[in-house]
Amino acid sequence: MNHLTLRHRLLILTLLPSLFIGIALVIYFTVSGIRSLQNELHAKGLSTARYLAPVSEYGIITGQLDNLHTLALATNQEPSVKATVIVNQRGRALAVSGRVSMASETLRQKLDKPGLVAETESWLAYGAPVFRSVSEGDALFDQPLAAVKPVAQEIIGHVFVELDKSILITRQHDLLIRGLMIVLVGMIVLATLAIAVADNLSRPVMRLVNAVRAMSEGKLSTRVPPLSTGELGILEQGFNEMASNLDDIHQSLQARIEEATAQLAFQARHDALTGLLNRREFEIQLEKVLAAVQAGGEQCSVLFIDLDRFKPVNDICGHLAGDEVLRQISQLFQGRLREEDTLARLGGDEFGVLLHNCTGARARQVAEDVCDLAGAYRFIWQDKVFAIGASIGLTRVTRDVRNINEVLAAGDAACYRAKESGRNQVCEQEAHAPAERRRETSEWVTRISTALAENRLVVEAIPVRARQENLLDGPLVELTAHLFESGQPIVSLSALLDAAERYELGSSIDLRFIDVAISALARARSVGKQIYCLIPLTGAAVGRSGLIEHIARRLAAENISGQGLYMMLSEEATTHNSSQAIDFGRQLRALGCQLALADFGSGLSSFSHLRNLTPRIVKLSRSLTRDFGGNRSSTSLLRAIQEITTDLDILTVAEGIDDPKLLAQLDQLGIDFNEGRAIGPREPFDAWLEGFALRAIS
Amino acid sequence: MLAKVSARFLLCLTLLLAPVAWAGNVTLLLSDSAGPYAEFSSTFSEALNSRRWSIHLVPKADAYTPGAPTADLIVTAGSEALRQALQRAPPGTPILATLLPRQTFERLLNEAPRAKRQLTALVLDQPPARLSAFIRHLLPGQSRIGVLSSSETRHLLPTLRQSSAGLQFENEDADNDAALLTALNNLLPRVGVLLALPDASIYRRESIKSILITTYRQQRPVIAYSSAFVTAGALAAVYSTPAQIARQATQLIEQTGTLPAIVYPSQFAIAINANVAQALGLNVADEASLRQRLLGEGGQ
Repeated sequence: MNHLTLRHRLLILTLLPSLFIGIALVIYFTVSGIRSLQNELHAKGLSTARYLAPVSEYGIITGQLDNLHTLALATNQEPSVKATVIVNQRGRALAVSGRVSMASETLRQKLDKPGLVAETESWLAYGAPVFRSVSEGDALFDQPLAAVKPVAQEIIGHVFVELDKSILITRQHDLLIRGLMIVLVGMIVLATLAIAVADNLSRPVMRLVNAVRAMSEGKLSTRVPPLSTGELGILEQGFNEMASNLDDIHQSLQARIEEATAQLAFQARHDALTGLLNRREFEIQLEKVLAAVQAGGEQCSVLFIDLDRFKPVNDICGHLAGDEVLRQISQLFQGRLREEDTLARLGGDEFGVLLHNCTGARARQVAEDVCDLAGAYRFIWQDKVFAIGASIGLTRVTRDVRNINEVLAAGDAACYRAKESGRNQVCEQEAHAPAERRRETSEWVTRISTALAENRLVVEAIPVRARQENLLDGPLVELTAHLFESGQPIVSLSALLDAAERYELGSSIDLRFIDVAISALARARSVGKQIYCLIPLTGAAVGRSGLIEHIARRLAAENISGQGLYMMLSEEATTHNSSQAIDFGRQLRALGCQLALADFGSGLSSFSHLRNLTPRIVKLSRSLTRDFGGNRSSTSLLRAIQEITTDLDILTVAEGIDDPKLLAQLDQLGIDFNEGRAIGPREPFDAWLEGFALRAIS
Repeated sequence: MLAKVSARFLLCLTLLLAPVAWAGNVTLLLSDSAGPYAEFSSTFSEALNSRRWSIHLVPKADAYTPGAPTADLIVTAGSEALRQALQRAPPGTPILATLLPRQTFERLLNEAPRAKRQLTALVLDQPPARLSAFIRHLLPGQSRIGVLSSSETRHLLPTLRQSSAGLQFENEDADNDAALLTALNNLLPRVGVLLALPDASIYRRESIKSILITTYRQQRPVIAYSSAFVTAGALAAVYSTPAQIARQATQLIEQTGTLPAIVYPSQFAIAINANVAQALGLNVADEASLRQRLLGEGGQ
């Protein structure tokens, strides 16, 4: 029933009961008709027997067999009578007509009134007694005594008639056939009507169904002609309204999808954070440019910018701050670039710039400008200030470049070289030159750990000149190091620390420096001398547990006090973990060590730190001393710092003093120590220590 | 034997029925209180001179006991009444038997104990002359008349033939049922009409119909002896009603002189079954004119 259509259901609903009723009626009327026919037959049989009986009386009495035979024949002429038998008192047949089916026992039975005597499937037999009739006599003439006892009517014989049922069966058949014919005709009429009604009802429904189907197939413009009235009309109207609503919704949805698609396309091409082009789009642009250049267009330059000291911002202030840095920096860069130049964020803190129609000195100038912008840029987050800086690789897109990978590799390598050589600078590399591959992460980890294990981290001493002899009772030396690997370029400490910090290997280098310094201190004591070591620590050292314990253990092992050990932290590290830094300083002082601050003056919070941290030494920021001499503001800033440090009894160190002529001015300002090429070159720490020890002994 | 009986009756009549002035008690003995007997009884009581005769009515013959008042004359109505009277009435009391066929009277007399008494029967049988006349007037063209007789009625035939007046009577004997229809079938082809004489052994309730059908089938009319027979299908009958018999009985009682043993009814009625006549294609006169003709002929 479930898979039938509405039309079929309607037809079944209409026709099936009618069919049942029709057939039931036919059966009922046939049966009742047959019953009445049966009754009729019964009545006929009875009456025939009843009439035949008195008529036969005379023949039986007189024994006129001809007469009886005539009677029997006449009776047999009656429709449905198939046999007639007239028997005498003893059951002997006197007259027989037709084919008798009754048994002879039946013929011999005594009847007191007419009735059915036998019945089979095909015939009925009725019998009636033949009475001797009694006339109304005159009592006066009766014999005396004869009338006294009235005798029962004498039976002188019987008549039997057999009725054929075949006519009954034929009639039954006829009736059934006729009834079924009527039902058939009725059903045809009914079916015609029902089909008309069903069509009338199902056609609009089918229209709706087809419309719904079309809708579900996506033909949203489908509408139903509102031809029907009543509920179907409401349905059609409702469908059309729903369809138009759906259509509208679909269209607005389509618009939104297109919008979203456009947005996605934009997002696919752009960096979500900065709104700049992303790496993929940058490469596509580069491809185009390369194709143009190869086709004879103007040459272009590409800058690869890697931000310096970006990670601390992320680590200390969180990603929100990091993101803000990236946004600001990108705006900063964008401001320097021309409209036609393409600035892209290649990922993380890497940016790429495509300088169209710009090569040589102009490109170099742009790169330098960008570098300076980055170097001068300060990121302020809450109460913290960060100096960022950028290492920039510059490469040209020439006709000789085969594919963009050469450009990318060259730019990458140049950027790496700039980073290696001390950050915040621009390096150039030609695209077709064999490019140095940038080390991979895992490479760094193995390199550093192997170098430490194989003692290939060459610890060096930076000689420090004191303004006055009596500032300390021993020489001050700053420890530095570089990675020495045969066949590899030397990796500077800043680059090394950068990498180490990035891969959580900073503590190994820290411990290495500490061990070297304590050993040196012990060696100096052993010859009765005191030395003072400036030990650069990574920013993470401040909060690292076990570092203080390590120092204490080492000091105890050498059986010396920590006096002369200046643990140098960058101003950045102390700024961002000031409470930890204060704690760290106190613990150091308990061991006899002192705290030193490096890169002092690069942040605005520098002065407040001095009071809290109470360092023994501050190393002035290179930015303060670089322009020293020509820049009055730097000089006044230095003077201010010097005044405060003097006030707090803090020693100051100026680094990167390459010009010996500056020394006098520094001395004049009151800077306590100087270092740089003007003072002396770096030398291996061991060599310096042995030299010092020999000098002391002699 | 019948001849002997007749002779004895004649002797009795001559000896006993002396002319006397009649008066006294009459015991009226009915076979039954209903039907024709009631009619007879009432007519009889009316017609009899009550100043000279006192009537003692016994409605049921079997309840009759002789005794007070001593009857001077016993009148019986019907066969049963006569039978009882013959058995129970004191010897010597004269009996007038009425409302019975001659055959029955003779049979009862034959059966009864012999006693010397005055016994007269006013029978229902019509006198032979009247029957002949009736046939002649009813069916003028018919001359051959068939009669069925049993042993008890055969002796009446000579009398009938004597009064035939041109009619020729054919007779067949039918002493039992089996012979009846055979006899009838033998008789009918020879005659034009069947005259039924009162004979209880032939004309019984059971046989009347067969006889009538047989005659009808052979297109022979039946002249019967009672209105019931006519009703059953006979063409016509000449008969006497109980009232007529009752009146004649009173006349017999009051009249002086010797009474014969058998007295035929003096008054009569005629019944015709018009349907039968029509069925047989006979054009018969109506009852009244027939009766007039019979009376005019003076057939007694």
